[in-house]
Amino acid sequence: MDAVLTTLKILIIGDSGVGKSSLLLRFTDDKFDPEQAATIGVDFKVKAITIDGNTVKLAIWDTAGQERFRTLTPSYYRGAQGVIFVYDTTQRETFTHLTTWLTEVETYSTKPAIVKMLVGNKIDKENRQVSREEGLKFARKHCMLFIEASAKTRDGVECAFEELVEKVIQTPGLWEAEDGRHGNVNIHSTNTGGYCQC
Amino acid sequence: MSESEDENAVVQEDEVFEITDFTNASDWESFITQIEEIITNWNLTSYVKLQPLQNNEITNGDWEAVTAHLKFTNVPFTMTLHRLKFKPDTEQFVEELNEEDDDKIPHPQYVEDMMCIDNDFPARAHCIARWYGLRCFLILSISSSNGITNQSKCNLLTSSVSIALSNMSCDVPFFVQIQENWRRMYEGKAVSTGMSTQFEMVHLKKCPQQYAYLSGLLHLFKNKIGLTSLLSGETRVSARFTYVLHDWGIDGKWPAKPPDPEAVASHFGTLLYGCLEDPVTELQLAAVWPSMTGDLVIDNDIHSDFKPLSAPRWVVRLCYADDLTCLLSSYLYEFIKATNRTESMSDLLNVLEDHTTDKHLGQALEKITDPSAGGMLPGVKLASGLTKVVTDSQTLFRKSAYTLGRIAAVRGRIPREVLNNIKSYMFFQESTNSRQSSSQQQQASTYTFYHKLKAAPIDSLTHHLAMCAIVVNLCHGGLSALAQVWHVFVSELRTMLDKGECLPGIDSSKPDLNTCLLHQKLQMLNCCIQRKVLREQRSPRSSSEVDFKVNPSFVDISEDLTESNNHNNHMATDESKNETTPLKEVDKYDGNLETSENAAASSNHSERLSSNDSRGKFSVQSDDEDEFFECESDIDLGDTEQKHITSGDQHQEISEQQSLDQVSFTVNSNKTEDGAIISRDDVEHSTNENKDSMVDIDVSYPAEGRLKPCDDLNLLRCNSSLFIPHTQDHAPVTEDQLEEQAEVFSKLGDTKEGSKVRAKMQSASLRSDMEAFKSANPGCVLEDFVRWYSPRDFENGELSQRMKIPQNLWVTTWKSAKPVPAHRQKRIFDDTKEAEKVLHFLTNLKPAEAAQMLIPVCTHEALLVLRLASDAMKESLPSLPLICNQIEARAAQIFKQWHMYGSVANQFQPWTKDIQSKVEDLFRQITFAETMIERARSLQHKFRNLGDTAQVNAFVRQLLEHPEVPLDEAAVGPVGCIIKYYFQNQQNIVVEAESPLSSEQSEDVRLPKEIPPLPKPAGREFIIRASNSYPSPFSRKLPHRMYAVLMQNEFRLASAVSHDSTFF
Ligand SMILES: Nc1nc2c(ncn2[C@@H]2O[C@H](COP(=O)(O)OP(=O)(O)O)[C@@H](O)[C@H]2O)c(=O)[nH]1
Ligand SMILES: [Mg+2]
Repeated sequence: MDAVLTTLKILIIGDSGVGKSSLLLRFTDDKFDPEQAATIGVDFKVKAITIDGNTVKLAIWDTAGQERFRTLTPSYYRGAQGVIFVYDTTQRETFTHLTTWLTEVETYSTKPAIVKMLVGNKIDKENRQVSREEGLKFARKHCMLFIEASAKTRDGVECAFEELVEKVIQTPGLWEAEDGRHGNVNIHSTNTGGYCQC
Repeated sequence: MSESEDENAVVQEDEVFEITDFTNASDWESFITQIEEIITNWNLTSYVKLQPLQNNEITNGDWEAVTAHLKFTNVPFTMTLHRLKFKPDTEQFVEELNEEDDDKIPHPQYVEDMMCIDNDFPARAHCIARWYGLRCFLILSISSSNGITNQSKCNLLTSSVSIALSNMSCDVPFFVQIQENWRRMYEGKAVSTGMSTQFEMVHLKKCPQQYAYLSGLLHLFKNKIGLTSLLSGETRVSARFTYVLHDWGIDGKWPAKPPDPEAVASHFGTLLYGCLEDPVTELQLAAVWPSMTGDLVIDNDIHSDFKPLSAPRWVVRLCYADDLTCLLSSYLYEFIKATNRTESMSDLLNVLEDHTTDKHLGQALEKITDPSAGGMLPGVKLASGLTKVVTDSQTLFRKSAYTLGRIAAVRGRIPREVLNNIKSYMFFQESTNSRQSSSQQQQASTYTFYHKLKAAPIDSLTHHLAMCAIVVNLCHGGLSALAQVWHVFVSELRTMLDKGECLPGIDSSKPDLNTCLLHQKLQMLNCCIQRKVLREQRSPRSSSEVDFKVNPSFVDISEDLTESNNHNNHMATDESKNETTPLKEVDKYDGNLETSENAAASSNHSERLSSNDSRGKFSVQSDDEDEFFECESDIDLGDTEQKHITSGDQHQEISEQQSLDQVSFTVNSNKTEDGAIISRDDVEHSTNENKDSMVDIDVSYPAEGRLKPCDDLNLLRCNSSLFIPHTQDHAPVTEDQLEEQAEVFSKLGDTKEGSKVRAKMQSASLRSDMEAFKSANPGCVLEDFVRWYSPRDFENGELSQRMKIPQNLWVTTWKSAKPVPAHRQKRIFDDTKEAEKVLHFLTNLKPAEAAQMLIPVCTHEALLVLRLASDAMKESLPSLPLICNQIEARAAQIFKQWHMYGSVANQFQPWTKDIQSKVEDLFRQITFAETMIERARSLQHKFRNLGDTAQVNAFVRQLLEHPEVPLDEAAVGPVGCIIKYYFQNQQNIVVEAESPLSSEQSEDVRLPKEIPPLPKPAGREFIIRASNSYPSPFSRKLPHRMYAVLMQNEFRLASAVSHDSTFF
């Protein structure tokens, strides 16, 4: 089945420099570009992916993460079905900052059941500061999907996005169009338990 | 078992039937086979015995109904099994009926049930269960047409079922529905070991004279079962007489005082709630006599032993108004009606040829709202037209409109004084809301209920507007009134903008994206007004615009000098400063700005606030700075400002510059936020040629626009602290503008080029920050900037790799950024333009659209009212808070998903049918809750004399939760006494009405005539039971039963007579 069923809006957030843009580039173009400039404001990419025979188009919004750009992002939370929280496993403060990001999502997202995924990035690097267990624990506490990844070595990247999309599709009512603006499309949805797949 | 499965079963059966060799079988045989199949599927193929029915189990137990479809010839029938669900613990009690001695054959289950006296007159049950006391039975009814009216057809069906059931050893009674459905006529039969029971019914409009009393009914029953002996004690009788109270009198009527229309019409502070008529229409009192010896009771046309006041049991039941008109719901329903109208402002007024200009419209409105204008105004015409629309309306909510028409005299124009009241309520009135003041503090920044609903804060201008709109819509003539209020509102906004007055009840923060679009727009307008005020407060002293433009920097300096003078004479200046310079005022605004920053920015906020604490420390540092500046000051001066300085006495100017820096810091740190964000937009540094800024490190200018030092960092290339500059605030934006921006960004596509353009588009604030940074930190380099702005991009003493990419936007922007303090930068945010956009947006809304925008705010208010009311009633209605939770959650869901804009900013998008129906549904739920509350309040009022509050609440709760409530001590108990009192009052009224001619002569005749305490019963029910040998005296003794109900317009007998099929 090749017809694109629906477009899902995904958001990537987290402190500046944790590798959000790199993860996105890895996912969309399977590239790692050390020459990637620091994001200004928001940027976005599109990619179609097929899961369980259903093709969905992803519109993924990448954000800058610096304090000064923060005020721009809340608008992009609106209508997003999924959000990826990224931290750098070699920078503890990017992990401790996650609660701030969580509050922001809770405040501004319009979907009650928005799917949240936590990605611990840069596991290829040596000086790890945040253990996998800590990441897991945080994800469980906040009902998030969790994965560790490296945009550089491509570990976990594709899996992260696929898991997220699958979860969105399985969450009843989440991927449906808001206020009937875009016609309703029916993807069969299997019922699975809560989202803590950690 | 589900219906569809049964259907399958039937279909299968048909197939089997066709394939095997029964081709000669008749329709009749086929029908019987189908029934047998169904009986098998339902596991009814053995005689089972259950535990005896518990007291009231028929009412309180769980019933299930299973349906199967079948056909006779080609006529479709349905078979339904009604059954009280087994309780888990009784299931084990099941025992097989065993055939022993003839005498000791136990009765089948259905006979036990019929004769069980603990379930007489159940409060809620299927009519068959009520008439026969059965807990399990089958009903065969014809699917289509008007029922079975032909007796022979009926007999055929009955015997078919009877054969099938006895083939299958099924002793469940079955009934065939005959006659028209509304008559509820059934004929039935049950077959068991050695016996069968015939269920028959009589249904008449009028009760035959001979059966009007128990005596006649007993006679009939005895005849039917061949009971001829004169022995007493063979029949048992239960009776239930029902009395109706429909007039509660002055003491019981609710609302005790109906709302005063005028008060409702001028009450804007909160929405009111409550019903306009009594939600409790009727009380039915049943006097019940449980099983008595039939032959000892006398009940005939001369005398009756059934004296309700001495009946052993009293039971009450209530009837409620179907379609109650309640205030809170009426506000909402009428408002929803307004949202569906399509008239524009000018259509509504029906006076303008020229629809284009607001001016004309305004004049028309002024005319219409001017009481001095004559009576021939279009308003009058309008009013009658509107009445017609309202009353003709086919909407769901017709009745409420009608009833409230009485409250709300439909008027074409709102009287001027009312309109003035409305205006001053919206714009001037202080909070009168106690709800508000308590929660005001926390509301400022935290995520509260109105955020959840995406509404607006209580007592904000938006809220006041919504309250006025919803009240005038209900009480002052609907849409035209709404249009007038809207016009007044928008005109006043315009005036305030022109005068530079900030909007009352709108906090000074940026648009809060968690509020409704209208509130965001008002916040936006308020931001614009504030900035306008700031600008205008600064510029008057600069003599004239022309001067300002000719040499802006000169003006700047002199202005700042005034400041520094003030500072030097610190003791004396506080007042004079106020007079001579408005700067103090300016900073006050900024203080406001800061404190009301929303939660998302709060981390930033506290950081900046901390500059207060570091003030002392800073002063010392800033002295060091000044030293440093003097040293460097002979270097080439490229900046405009520097040019000015060179033109005068350099040394002196610079020392003034020092004090300037101190002053501006002192002032600012006092009030925290940057005081000079957007003034002097005329100075457009960014457009000047900037060749000189390419110089690698430029320390040739004095520092300006510092906020505070950044930690303990020093500049990399100079020996100086790194300062965080004052920066331009991000432009305030509303959600529709953000959406538009997002749309533009996404249209650029996900190519590299698109990415670049996006970054470029968003780099304005980066550039502004860089320029401010440069201005605050002479001698800085990009590394310094990055250390403040994006610290993680400065690692191991150098820029991160990505920052070092040649020609990346950070580098290029940095190179082209000139040192300009925020207050002299071109303003990023054009408040004049934005204010016009908001006003244009609001002016162009149709009244119906304006109403739509206000719906979340009105709903928010309604839900607060409902919550308060429900909390007050939770003793009587413990489930109500949960219902409120559900309604609130639903509302939050709806309003969060409702976009009121399209992909272009400042364009209202009317709601979709989907949203509309969701909102209507929400309002229905609110109505339901309000109705529940009113029932409870009405009952609390009626039974207020029952005892203390807890007792009253407990009784009301019982009344609301159960279909019928038995009364302790019947007529003499506490409730009984209250009810007797109400009945007595009703009787008095009735009797007075019956004998209105109480002339002097007849007075003596009237006095002795006693008024009966209760009216004639509206209905009498009897259950008569007996055991007797039937059909012949030699038959086995079997139980029989007859139910009778006698009402004004209905007479029904339902008899169950058992036959001994072994000995007759
Ligand atoms: N070693 C390593 N470096 C990474 C990884 N992901 C990103 N980076 C680097 O981290 C820096 C910041 O990455 P970027 O994607 O721009 O972060 P963003 O600000 O979150 O978008 C860049 O220099 C990347 O090359 C990773 O998985 N491993
Ligand atoms: Mg990035």
